[in-house]
Amino acid sequence: MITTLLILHGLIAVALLGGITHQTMAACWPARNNEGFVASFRAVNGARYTNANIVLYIVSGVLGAVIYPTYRLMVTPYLLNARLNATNGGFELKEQFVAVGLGMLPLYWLVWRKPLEPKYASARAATTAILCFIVWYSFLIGHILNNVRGLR
Amino acid sequence: MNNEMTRVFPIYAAAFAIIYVIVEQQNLPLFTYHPRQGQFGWLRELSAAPNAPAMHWFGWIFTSLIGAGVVSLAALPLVKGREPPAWIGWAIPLAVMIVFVFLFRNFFLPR
Repeated sequence: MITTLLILHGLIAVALLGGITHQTMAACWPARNNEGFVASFRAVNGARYTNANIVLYIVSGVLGAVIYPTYRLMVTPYLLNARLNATNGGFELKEQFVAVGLGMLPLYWLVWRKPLEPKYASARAATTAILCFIVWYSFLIGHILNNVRGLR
Repeated sequence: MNNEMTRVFPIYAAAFAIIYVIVEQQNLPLFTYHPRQGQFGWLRELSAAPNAPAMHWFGWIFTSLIGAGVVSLAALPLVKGREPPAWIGWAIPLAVMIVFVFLFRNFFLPR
């Protein structure tokens, strides 16, 4: 059961990664045309991703919270005994970053609300980029931890 | 959503981040979860045994959600006349993230 939840957590994280990365590129590095792979990647309508990204962030967080007690009981003691301090600290940072990102979601929704307001342009780019960093960091740390010691 | 309400969102994000770092450092969870026993308890509870950790993270989040909600409600009358700057909603959480990196630095420094 916990393995199924972990895989689901990972799949939702992948969907969120795609959505938030597209949106960050659209906000921070908008494309003038959609010719070529990179320009096409940047040339999306960022506002269309907002609600989906919020739902995915919350669902991914809830699934992570469901898995977390098993992690505390099975993985954390292993990391401490093996003195894998950086790996353990990476996860400790992840949980704080995810929490800070959760508090930013209402603002994220506001700055992407249609019609897009020019006065929020810099806040839109910054908020999305920070959330993008949190999602990427969390994904990579989760992946590393799963490689070091999976939930079983 | 009401425009008056949405004006406090930058304040909410900033307040959440500040309250969260204080709550985490002072360990002030709204509740504690004991995963070995599968039990919840109000506020901060200690581990029942060395191999039965007490989890406070869920409680920190709820303390911060409520705290930021209270701050935002208190700020509502202030934002009726003028809109707070949106940058506080991302700059302060970003600063808090950097503070966390500093606070957790010992995990990454060689011993």
